[in-house]
Parts: sequence; C-alpha cells; structure tokens
Amino acid sequence: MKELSLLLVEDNEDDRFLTMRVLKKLPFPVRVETARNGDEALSLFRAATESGLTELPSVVMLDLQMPKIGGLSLLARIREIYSQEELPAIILSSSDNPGDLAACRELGITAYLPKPIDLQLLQEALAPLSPLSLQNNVEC
Amino acid sequence: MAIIRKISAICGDRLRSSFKARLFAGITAIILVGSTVFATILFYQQYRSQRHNLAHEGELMARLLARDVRLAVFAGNRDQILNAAQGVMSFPEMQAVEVRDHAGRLLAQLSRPRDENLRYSEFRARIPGLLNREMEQSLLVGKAWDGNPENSVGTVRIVLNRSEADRQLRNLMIMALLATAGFLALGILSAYLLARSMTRPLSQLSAAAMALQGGDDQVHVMVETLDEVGRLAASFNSMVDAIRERKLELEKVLDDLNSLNASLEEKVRERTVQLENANRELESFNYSASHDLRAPLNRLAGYCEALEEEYGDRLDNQGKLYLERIKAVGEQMNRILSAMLTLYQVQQRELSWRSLNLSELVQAVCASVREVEREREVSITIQEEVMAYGDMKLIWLALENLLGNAWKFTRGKHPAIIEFGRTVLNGENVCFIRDNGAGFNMEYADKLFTPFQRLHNHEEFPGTGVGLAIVQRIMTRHGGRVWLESSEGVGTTCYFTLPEGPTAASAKTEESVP
Repeated sequence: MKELSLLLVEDNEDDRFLTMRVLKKLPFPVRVETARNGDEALSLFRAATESGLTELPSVVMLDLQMPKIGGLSLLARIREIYSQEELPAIILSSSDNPGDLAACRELGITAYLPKPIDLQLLQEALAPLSPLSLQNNVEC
Repeated sequence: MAIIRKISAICGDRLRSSFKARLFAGITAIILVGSTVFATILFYQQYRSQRHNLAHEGELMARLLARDVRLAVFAGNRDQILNAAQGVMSFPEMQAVEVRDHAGRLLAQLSRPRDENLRYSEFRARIPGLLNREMEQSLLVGKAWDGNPENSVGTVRIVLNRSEADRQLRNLMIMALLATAGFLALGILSAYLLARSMTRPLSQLSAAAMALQGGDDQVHVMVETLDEVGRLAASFNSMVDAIRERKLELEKVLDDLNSLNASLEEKVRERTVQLENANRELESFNYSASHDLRAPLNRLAGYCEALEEEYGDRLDNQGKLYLERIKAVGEQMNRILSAMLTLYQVQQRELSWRSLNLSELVQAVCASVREVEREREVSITIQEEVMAYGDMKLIWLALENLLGNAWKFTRGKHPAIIEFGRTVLNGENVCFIRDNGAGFNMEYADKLFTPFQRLHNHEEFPGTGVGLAIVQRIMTRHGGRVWLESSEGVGTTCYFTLPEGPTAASAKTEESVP
C-alpha cells in the first residue's frame, strides 16, 4: 500500500504537534515531512526539481501566518513553478478573513482549513489525493 | 409738432441731467430778457424824443413862417408871400407850403411831388394880426399859440416829410439790435465760461467719485479754488485718504485673519492626520489582536482535545470539570475575538445599497434564532412591508444582534413577547424592536454602545458586550441612529432609523460599486 507524501509548512511548534496528531488519525497512511518556514520549504522544492534527489510531495499544507515568507507569498512562489494539478495545496489558518481566502483561491488551493484542524474536514480534503483512492478510482 | 416735442424732451433731459446746462440756460435767459427789455426801452425813448423834436421843429417852422408872412398878408403882397414860402421850401425835408388869408383864400402854394414810400407830418399856424411882446416870446419857446381867431389874418400850413427822421430811427434801431446782439453774445460767452468754471470741478469730483466706487483709492481731485466747490474737493480728497487708510487697516486685519485661519486649518489637518493614524493603529491593533490571539487560543483548544482524548479516562470528575471549563472559557474568548473582528469588518466594508424588506429580514432572523432554542415559546409580532434602503449583510447583522438581545433578555418571561414595527416619533419614521424582557436602568443607557460594556452578569445573560456597538456602527454607516428605552423588569424598546430610499451618501457609494 502506497502512502500519501505530504509537506507541512508550519512555523509554530505547538501547531506542528497538533497537526501531526490529527494527521496520524487519518484512516490512510501518510508520510509527513515538515518545514519550519518558507525558506526551508522553498529549498526542499528546489532540491526536488533541480537535483531530483528528493521526491516532490503529493500535497503541501501551508500555515498562512508565518514570519518572513508568509503562507500566501509562499503559495504564490510555488504556483510560479507548479500548477494546482502538479502540487495540490491545503491552507491552514486561524484567520477567517475573507480577503485571505479569496487570495488563496485565486492562486489555486484544494482546501482552506481553519485551526484547530477538524479531522473530518482534513480527511475529506486529503482522501481524493491519496494513492489509495486514486487506485480505487482507476479500478472503478 | 412732434419734432418740437422731441427737441423739447431732449432739452428737458439735458437740463435735468446736467447742472452746467441748467446754469447756462438760466444765465442766458436772464441776459436775453434783460438786454431785450433794455434795448426796447432805449429804442422807445429815442423814438419818442425824435418824434417830439420833429413836432417841435415843424411847429416852430410854421409859426416862423406865419410871423414872416404877416406883414405881406396884411399888405396883400403876394410876391413877398411867395418869397417867404420859397425860403421855407429850401429845406430838403419840406414837402409843401400853403398860405391862406382869413377867409381861406389861397395866397401861395408850393409843393414837391409826393413819394408814397415816405411818411408826412402836417403843421398849421395862424397868422397873427397883432404881435405883442408876449406873443413874440412864446413863438420861440414853442409854447402853443392858438391866438384869437378874430385876431388872425390868415393861416399857414406846412407838410414835412419824415425821411430823415425815419432814417435816423432806423439807424438807431440797427445799432440797438447790434448792441443787443453783441451784449448777448458776450453775456452768453461769459455765462458759458462761468458755468464751465463752476461745473468743471464738480464733474471732476463726480468722475473721481465714480473711480473711487470702481475701486481706485488713489484718486485725487485738484483743488483750484477756495470757494465752496474747492472746499468740497478738499474734503473729498481727505475722505479718499480716510477710505484708503481704512482699507489698508481692513486688509491687514484680513491678512491676519487669513494667516490665523491657515494656521488653524494646518492644525486641524495635523490633528486629523494624527487622529486618523491613531484610528488606523487602533483598528489594525484590533485586527491583529483578534488574529494573533486566536492562534494561541486554537492551540489551547487543540491541547484540550488531546488531553481529553489521550488522558480522559485517567481524569476524575473534578479534573473533567476543569477541562470542560477551560474549553468553555476558550470558546467565550473566541466569540469575543469574532465580535471584535466583526466590528472591524463592519467599519471596513464597502456598502452595497439596495432596497430591503425589513419585515422579511426580521422574519428570517427570528426563524434562525428560534432554531437554536426550539424549546422556548416566544410570541413574535412583525408589522408587514416595512421597507428600508441599505446593505443587506450589515442590516442582517444588526437585526441578528438586536433580535438576539430581545430573545436573550426575555428568557424567564412567560409569555415572552417580541414586537417589530415602524412608528412616527417627533415627525420621523422610526423602526423599533420591543421586548418584555429584563430591561435595564436607563442611567447606564449610553454605556451600552461602547464595546465590552455589559450591564448583566455573564452567568445571567451571556454575551460578548460588542453586539450593540456593532449595531450602532452599522446604523451610523447607513446615516441612521439607534437608541434604547428601557425600564428594569418591564422590557426594552430599541429604536433605529434607516434611509427609506437612495440618499446622497448611498448614491456616492453606488457609483463606485456598480
């Protein structure tokens, strides 16, 4: 059984811990890599595209409020390289600011999840992307 | 006639409009009348004296002739009579000479051919029979001598032509006329000069006054004389000086005022900028606070969940109660943060104006409120077709807060009554939401619209304390007002005003939001 590879970009340790905790509860296997800020995430992507040393994750999960490169500008940088089909993105935010939501939608996102993350919503967002469900779809 | 009337009208206008013309006309009329009367009198006097002289001369000649021919008539010497008559005829103005005896018989007659163009005067004298001393005297003095007809021996008759006299008279008349005309011309000229010299300073004054009126405060009138007009000109000049001084003073005051105004405006601008900055800071603080506070709060909620899931079975009842309380406090704080955000968003939102059926909105809001607490029985009365003009989302939010309050504060009332409608207060259309709930002391009414001001215990009536502040901001942004009337234990009525149709403010926003 193949697992869903996932990159979590989150600056706050508590949030990282709590998100990881929810991710572990998912009914399908996920392999999570973490980046503690935008720079780390960008260097990971650079490694994946330029050297091919690392594999590109299936999904990227972004915290909106981060120091230096925020989630929104990071998403914009990602979308300069990868389309939404190549690299789906899920936004994690404690803000319900409609402006943020609209800006993210504009750039192309799969889901916009409020914190604290609800297991049900996360599962609904990730399930279609998991290799398991893709296989299922193919079989159907 | 029409032309004469027109000319006289023009002259009348001229006389009315020009002092110079009036003065000139007056002086001219006086000179004209005066010189005419003078010339006429002079001429009449001359005419009279001429006539008198002629008469005197004629009579004298007749009498002299009568005396000269007396002896010849006595003697009946016709040659001598004729001789005397011829002597008389030698005068060029003599037309005819006639001598008759006492019975009227013609003794001698001489005459020249008559000229119809000339005028003639006839003189008669008796030829005295006796000539005494008295008669001799009266003869030369010219005293009429009628004598005694009994004593007379005959009569003489002479006819004089008046050509010389008439010529003299004519010359006299021409001279009089010429003199009059010259006098008149001189008079008119001097009248004109006088009028001009009198009115010129006046017209200069008038022109200067016009210039002054036109704004030229540098005008100066020449003072040419020391008479009344000159004094008038001098006082005009000093008046102009005074006006100029006054104007300068006024300009100075105005300048001071302007600079004061400018500095005041500058100050106001500075203060406004400061205030705007402060407001912006406050708003951004509000915004970032609600954001930044929410993240740790969410972490708190996440850890609560983790604790409950992983250690729930190891907590005793007291521990579980604490956990519940921690979660509840977190949720309350979350609500407050949401309310703060809403307050911020209400202030920032661009209004999209449209016509709203408030009655239907109230109906819908009530239904959603009722959905939360289905078990409560609340009687809600809604007046139909109450219309307003505003932003649907914000008005919904306001109604949600107001009806939510009414719902909340009627808890514990049986029956609970909520009423929505429109009424007229002081000639103004006002909407109201009335409840028979807990009410409050009106002393604290003004506190209610300040965020986080609460009049009730949280346990009694939970809430964020921001709801009415939100409502007030919404009404203010619509150009409306909101106020409360309440009495403790009896209930509260919330009044609010909203535009009933497009207003200047709404038109302005509508243009920018198509």
